[in-house]
Amino acid sequence: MDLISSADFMQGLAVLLNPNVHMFVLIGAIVGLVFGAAPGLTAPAAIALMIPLTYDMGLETSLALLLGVYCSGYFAGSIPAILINTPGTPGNAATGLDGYPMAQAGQGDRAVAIAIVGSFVGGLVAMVLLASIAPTLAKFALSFTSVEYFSLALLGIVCVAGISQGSLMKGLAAALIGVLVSTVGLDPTSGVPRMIFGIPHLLAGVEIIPALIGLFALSEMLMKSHRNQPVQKVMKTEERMRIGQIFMDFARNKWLALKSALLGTFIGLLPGTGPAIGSWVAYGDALRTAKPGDKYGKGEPKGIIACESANNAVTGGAMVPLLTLGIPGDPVTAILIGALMIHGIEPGPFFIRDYGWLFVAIVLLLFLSNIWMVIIGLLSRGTLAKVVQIPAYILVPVICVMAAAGSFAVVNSAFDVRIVLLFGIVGYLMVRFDFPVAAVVLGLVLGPILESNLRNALIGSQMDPTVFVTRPISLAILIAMVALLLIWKRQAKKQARLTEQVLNDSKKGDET
Amino acid sequence: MSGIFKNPDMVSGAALIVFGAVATALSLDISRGPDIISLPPNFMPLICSVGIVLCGLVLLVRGFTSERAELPMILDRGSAGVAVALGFYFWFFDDLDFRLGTWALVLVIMLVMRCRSWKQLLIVPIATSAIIYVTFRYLFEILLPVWG
Repeated sequence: MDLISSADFMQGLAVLLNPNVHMFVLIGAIVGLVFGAAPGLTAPAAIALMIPLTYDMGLETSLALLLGVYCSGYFAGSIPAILINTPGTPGNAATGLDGYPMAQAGQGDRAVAIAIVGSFVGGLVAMVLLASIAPTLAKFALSFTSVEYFSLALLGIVCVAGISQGSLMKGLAAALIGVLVSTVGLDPTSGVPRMIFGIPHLLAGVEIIPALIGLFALSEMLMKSHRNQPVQKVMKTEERMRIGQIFMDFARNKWLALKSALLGTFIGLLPGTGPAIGSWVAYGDALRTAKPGDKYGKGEPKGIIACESANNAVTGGAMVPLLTLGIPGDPVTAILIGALMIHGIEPGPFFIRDYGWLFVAIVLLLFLSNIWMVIIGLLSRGTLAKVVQIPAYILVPVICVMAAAGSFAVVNSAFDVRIVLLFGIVGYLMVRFDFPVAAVVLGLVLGPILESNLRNALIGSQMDPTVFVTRPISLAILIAMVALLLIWKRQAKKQARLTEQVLNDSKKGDET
Repeated sequence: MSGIFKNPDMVSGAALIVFGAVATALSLDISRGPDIISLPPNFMPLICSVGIVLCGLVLLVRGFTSERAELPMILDRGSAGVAVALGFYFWFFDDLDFRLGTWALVLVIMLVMRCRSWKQLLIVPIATSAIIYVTFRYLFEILLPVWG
């Protein structure tokens, strides 16, 4: 049985006939580029701020806007990484290792252009894999029960905690805080109120959109308001590259781009990962296969190709667990769950079967977003370099007002605005003490999935907890979870060594 | 604070223990509800709370056995000013006129963050307030709080 019929396919294709869809993809791409390029603003913050605006929009147009932001936002974080050595998102940190030395050598424009085309290649490869893997996985997932879903949600939470930069304990604590917050409100089984402190607004639980806006947008703005921000010199991009030269760079390194994109996609497939892991793994692999004469860490274009192809490929990869299992692959897809739920659509194993046309539409919208990203990115790379220079004293108040107005707009509730404030403070403190905010978000989203499936699984097995290890798929997932934790632990050590080595080599090069 | 806490891990650990302990007490306080064969309503909150306490303990011990390190500055004068302005604006959002409140907030934050261009101080607060209000009111048809 095919999950997607030809009628679904045609209906999905028809989305492209809607001119509003094209307009909102374009707007989304521009918003994503601006948010990604402005240091201190990130793609998750952009999407969290945009979601309240999509309440009154149609499903296709709101997804067009959000997916446009998603694709462009991840790429554009490479612009500040290249021009001021400050990655816009953690996923672009590795890009700066070669991008910044290139900019210092007067090749800033070339580095930015390579990042744009690399992101495009990554996005395309991931989209093709999303279209081919997701329906098969969804078919397989139809046989899953609560037992497997609990194990998968646990895998997501443990993975996001395990791969958190800094420490496993901090990641785990952040994820647990997220799950704890998700339990606030009426217990879905017994109707007993949990930790509502007599506040009627909390009966339905903590609204996820205001919490996300607070955690991502407000906390980032509080960080930017510090007076001791380092003043970075913006590298010049006047020396323009011809588009043909950029494509020649890629033609020479096509296999590296393809390999990095595949790595990024498969890393995105794993719940709880994200572009940061994707780009570091791809960079590490590029370094491992370096040829004599390659100057990684000192301005090697291949370094940018590897990182950017991988981190944008994560976008497509991360959509696979979201659309087939209902489990977000990264923080942005965790936010996208909220966007789909606004329109009454619950991602999960039945998503492709019930909304085959929407799946086709999402794949096409990702494709369209990548096309717009590369067009606008290449045409406006000089202007984007100027976005990096927008002063913090303008960005901070404007984004904070958008956060307040956006959260109020969700249900016209001033209580939600206070939730933004509360989570903004919590997020800010977490960032100051190196806790991963993304882990809280995944905990918030996965918490209800974890709890309801744990309950259903235990009720179905007469409260026998061994059911999680006696069912083969669940056991395999749990074993994979332990294995991944061990692998990532080793990977984190290797990554730290790699960064240190590249930075040391780069410093030595500067001295000589 | 740096006298008691040797490094950021100790501060984080202590904060998590306090938070987790409060959450544990609140979880234990949740009523058991009707007698049905399922997990009690406080099962998940309790597991999480205890988990947070354990994470806090590990961090505290790790911090205790690690070298002394500088604690991150929570707020400086700039961020404290911005935080106070934001706290007031967000908390009293529906009591303020959005247009006036937004103008004042943007102006205050720009001043606190040391904007010294009088042109920007004149234009940015008015433009931000007007553009966001008009966009929400007429494009998204959302009524933001206004007086009168």
